[in-house]
Amino acid sequence: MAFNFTPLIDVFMLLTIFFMLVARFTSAEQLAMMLPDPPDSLARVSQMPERVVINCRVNESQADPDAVVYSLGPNPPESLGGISDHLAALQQQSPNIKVVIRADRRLRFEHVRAAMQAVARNNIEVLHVAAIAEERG
Amino acid sequence: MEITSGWSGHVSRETGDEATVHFRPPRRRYTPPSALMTLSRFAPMIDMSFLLLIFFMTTTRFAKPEGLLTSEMPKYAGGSGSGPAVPLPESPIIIRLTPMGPGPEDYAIRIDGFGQAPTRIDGLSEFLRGVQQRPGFDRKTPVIIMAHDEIRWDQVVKCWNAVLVAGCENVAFATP
Repeated sequence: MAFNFTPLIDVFMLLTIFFMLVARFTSAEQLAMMLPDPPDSLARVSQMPERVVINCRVNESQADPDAVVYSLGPNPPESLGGISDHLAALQQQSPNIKVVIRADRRLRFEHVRAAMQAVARNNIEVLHVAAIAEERG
Repeated sequence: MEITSGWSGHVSRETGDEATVHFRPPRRRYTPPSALMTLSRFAPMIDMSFLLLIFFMTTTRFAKPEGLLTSEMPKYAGGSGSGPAVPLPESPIIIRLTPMGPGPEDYAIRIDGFGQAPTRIDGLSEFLRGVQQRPGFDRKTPVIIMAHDEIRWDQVVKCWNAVLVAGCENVAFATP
């Protein structure tokens, strides 16, 4: 009697699709925004463990186009002071924490610089900034 | 001689030395398969088509991927001022980004000590490569980006990326 491989292949494909979808959902902390898109970008695509994302977005709901909203990952918006406190607590839990600043390219530099200062205030020495990466074939 | 058996067919036996048994199945009237039967024969193909469709829908990405630019931050010296927390190196290349109007593209760059430097980011990488060939400069020469508060973040990152494209290994930010 020959072994029937068809159900095995079916289940294998379903599991593959399932885990690929789950992996996509884990990037929920990356809120939709217009990231800087430099030509010949040297931004590297990398999956960093123990990373914290600070999102700096344009507040679309307000009339002022320069209004900025800060949030830590997928959390609701909060002040930079609150984010700095969260960073301090997270750094106590894991000293090797890495911080990524994701800022909308339409923001003024002063808003992003304020977020950088909040990071530096916690003595985090390496800063990662999100930008559109060049597609490599 | 013909023997009629309990089968629905017929068995014919030839008498003589060579006896051969022939079985002739009864003729059935051809009936075309029903639509449901025809469809069920295509079920594995439909299964596979859907699986492949979902697979490619999941894996295909039309948007450009997101990457990271990395920089080292100076140690925080405390205080509420926005000035640099560490003293600047002795002979850095200082790039100043200043606004020239209200639009996001209204900006100009200036490099301290280099009057012939480009005023736009487009030619910055090539210019910095030329600077690295001069005596006293190399890839490790610190490059400090001083961006005005009004400059858009997009221009700051483009300037930073252009510096990295030029091969500079020591890039920092400071406030004017």
